[in-house]
Amino acid sequence: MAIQIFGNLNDIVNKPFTVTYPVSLGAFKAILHQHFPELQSMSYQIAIDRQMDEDETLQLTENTEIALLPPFSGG
Amino acid sequence: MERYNRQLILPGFGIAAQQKLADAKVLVVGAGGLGCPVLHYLCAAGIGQLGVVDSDRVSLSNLQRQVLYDEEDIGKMKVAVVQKKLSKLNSDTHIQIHSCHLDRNTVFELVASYSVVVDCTDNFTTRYLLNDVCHLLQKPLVYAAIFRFEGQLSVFHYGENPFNLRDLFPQIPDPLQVPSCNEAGVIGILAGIMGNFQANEALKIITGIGTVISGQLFTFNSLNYQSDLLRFKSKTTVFKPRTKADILNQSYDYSCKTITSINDLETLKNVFNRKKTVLVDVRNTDELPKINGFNVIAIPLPVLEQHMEQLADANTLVFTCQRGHRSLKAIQLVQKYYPEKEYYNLKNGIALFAK
Repeated sequence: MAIQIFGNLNDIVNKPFTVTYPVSLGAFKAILHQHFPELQSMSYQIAIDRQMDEDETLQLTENTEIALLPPFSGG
Repeated sequence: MERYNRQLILPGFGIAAQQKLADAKVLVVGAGGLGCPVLHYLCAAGIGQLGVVDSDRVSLSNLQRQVLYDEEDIGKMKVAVVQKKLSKLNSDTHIQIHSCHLDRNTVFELVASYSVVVDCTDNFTTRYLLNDVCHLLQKPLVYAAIFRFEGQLSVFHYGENPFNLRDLFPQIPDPLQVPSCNEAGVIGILAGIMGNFQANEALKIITGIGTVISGQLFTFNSLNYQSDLLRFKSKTTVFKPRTKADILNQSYDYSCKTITSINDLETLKNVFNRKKTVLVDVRNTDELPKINGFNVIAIPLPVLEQHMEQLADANTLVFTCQRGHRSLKAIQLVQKYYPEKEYYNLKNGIALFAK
């Protein structure tokens, strides 16, 4: 499934990685940080099916829409 | 009312909505890429009082996106140009200019005098300070921010169930992780699009037409037109000030202020119009060419920490090296000693003087 990535996170999450679904949000984050360690020190939010969520027990499936969003500062 | 005829005849608009615009006081913070279209359209629509805050002067590299300015305005205060141009556009609108820097000394009184605030700033420090003050004073805040070809939009502190920037991104991010437009680049048209979205939200807040984008983040990509509305929840565990003192005691991370890049001689000269500005050359002593015509202090990066006291008197420090990388490291080093100074980096280093 495709993960939508915004802003400068595209520079970091820049290669394919494998996730076996279903997976909890917490485990998904751990996999993400394992592949892209730079993310750990970055400020970003995860939207699950277009809702920002931090409940790490939430189950993600192949059909879940996942988006990674950093804050922007430009103006 | 002939001036406003085309909006007066809209369904749900009319004289009542126009009167609300005439009674409104809108504060636009930042007269840059976002601020120019916001100011232009709100003035044209007949906002009664339009405040604009910006302490910068117009430079050549602004003209690509800051569409209220022209070549003759280079070097002038942005707010003065805004007042001159918009006064010609609509004499119904009173343009109130504030040439101060928005900080903890100025923000409370400014925000208190207006009914709606529009965040058109370009750095996290001001964005979070403005957010917290609007939370405290319960002023609707129209937020937009851009990065390369992408934009984000939301409205905070609005209505019975208000949301907050900190519900989205609780902490001030490290500015070094998120480059500003000056470093990352931005296309003027995207700033125009997002600024117009902000003007649209301000208009809706004031007139009551439509649905204000509260509790949702709108994202827009100008390259592929992908856009999303992402919902978020109110958070109780994040910083939400109850008193002015809470804000005064809060860290807005002035220690890692956004470093502004300079890429043209004109901008550098404008920076040097300020008092107590020094150009710090952190190249080794044998590197050429030497810099002439500016107040230069040469301290090679490897020994910079031992000579920190030479920088104590300056208010504004512009750093340079051969290519603009060592100077960035130098700024990070010096910021720890002098967090309150203004920092600039010559993006391409010494090449600037060769143009």
